[in-house]
Amino acid sequence: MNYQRPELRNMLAAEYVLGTLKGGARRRFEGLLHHDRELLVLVETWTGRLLPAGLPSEEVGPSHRVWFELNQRLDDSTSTVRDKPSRLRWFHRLWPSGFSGASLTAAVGGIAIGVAGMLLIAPGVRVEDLTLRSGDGRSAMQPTASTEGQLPDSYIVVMPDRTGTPALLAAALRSGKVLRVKVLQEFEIAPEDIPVLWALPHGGPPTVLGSLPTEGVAEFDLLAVSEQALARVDELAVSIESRSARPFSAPQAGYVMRSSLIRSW
Amino acid sequence: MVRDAAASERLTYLIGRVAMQDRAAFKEMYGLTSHFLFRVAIRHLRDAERAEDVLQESFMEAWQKAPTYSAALSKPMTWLMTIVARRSIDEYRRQVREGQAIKPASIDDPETGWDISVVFPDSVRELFGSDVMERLERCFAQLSVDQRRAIQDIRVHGMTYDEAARFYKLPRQTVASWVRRGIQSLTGCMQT
Repeated sequence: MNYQRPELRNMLAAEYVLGTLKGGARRRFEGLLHHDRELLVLVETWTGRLLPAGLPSEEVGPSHRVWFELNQRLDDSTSTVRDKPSRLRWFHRLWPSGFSGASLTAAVGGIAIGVAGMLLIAPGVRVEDLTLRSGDGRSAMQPTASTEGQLPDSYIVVMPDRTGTPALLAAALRSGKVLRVKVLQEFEIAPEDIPVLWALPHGGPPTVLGSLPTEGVAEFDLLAVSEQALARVDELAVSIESRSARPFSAPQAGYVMRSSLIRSW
Repeated sequence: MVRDAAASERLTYLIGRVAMQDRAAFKEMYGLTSHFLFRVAIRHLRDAERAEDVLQESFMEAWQKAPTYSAALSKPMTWLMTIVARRSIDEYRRQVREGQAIKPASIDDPETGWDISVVFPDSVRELFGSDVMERLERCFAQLSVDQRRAIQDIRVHGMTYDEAARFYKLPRQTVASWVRRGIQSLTGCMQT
């Protein structure tokens, strides 16, 4: 076979891309590719022509599971040089959505005991801040307590990762109209995705509270003082949604973390 | 989505960084390409979960083989597409062997939702350039229905000529002739 004939080279390149070149013919062709740059260009040309053909026109994308698992596999590999070596990639250690029962109760209970101290020492989530906001006219009611070292009546949610390390903290004064959320460990998600916070009312469908930053603090204005707005809410939860899926009406792939709403009074 | 030459250059740069095991670059590369590549896998497998598995394996391969990528030999997206398409076909053929595969459906089967007329979605036009894709559409349109169908079915299902012949219940030579004449027509058309 004369591999210098342009027509033959073109046909072989196309059939190679198409996948119809098999067996010995394929092996011989691949042998040529090692030292025939022009043949490689032909293969590249036919790849660009044939591979996009027949793609579904529907704009669909992979779920966030792919990225998370990829990230985990890279974490697990021993040869990686990480962009941020000290970052705790907590997302892969989150509790499974069905995690519940005694261990959860114990974990949340144990964390709740320490919450007052966390609220006072965690940067950006001081009780004084919440108190100021409440006294700023956002609430018609006055805070019930603001003495230093004493936790005012508040709703608190701590979402731990699978190791029990707090990953997200949410708090609202009982008499306030703002729910403040601090992301304690950065979300590692694909750029096109976004974490979304949900309220899970007792016996009702989830209610979206809004999107979260991947790190830092977010505030959500409640429609009423939290004692009313959160009265029937059992839990808060976080899901990962595609940014293109706005507005969010229901979580598309379940929750990546959820935890009970704790009343401090 | 990688929309233009500048973005393609960016992707080339990112693959270079990935070759040095730069996780941030890998994340950006995933963000730029994963939606498109997922559709490549879906086309072959028609099952979102399996397509996601293939996508994950493909990105792992890209992570490992990034040091071998040469921008002089291949555009970054075609390099990635080739990985995904090859793995998708391998997975499809494994399913066939194990009796798990969805029965092959011709590209013009209404149930697949694919268009035999080969009209490229906007995202593909943006990726490869509108001019090239419009010309390719016109060239595909000039093929006979049999030629178009055979090229796409074989591409999607990774069939051999023998398998395609059994699929169409036609002589092997007939199917091979459709494909080769189709390739010749496309070649001539794209050069004009």
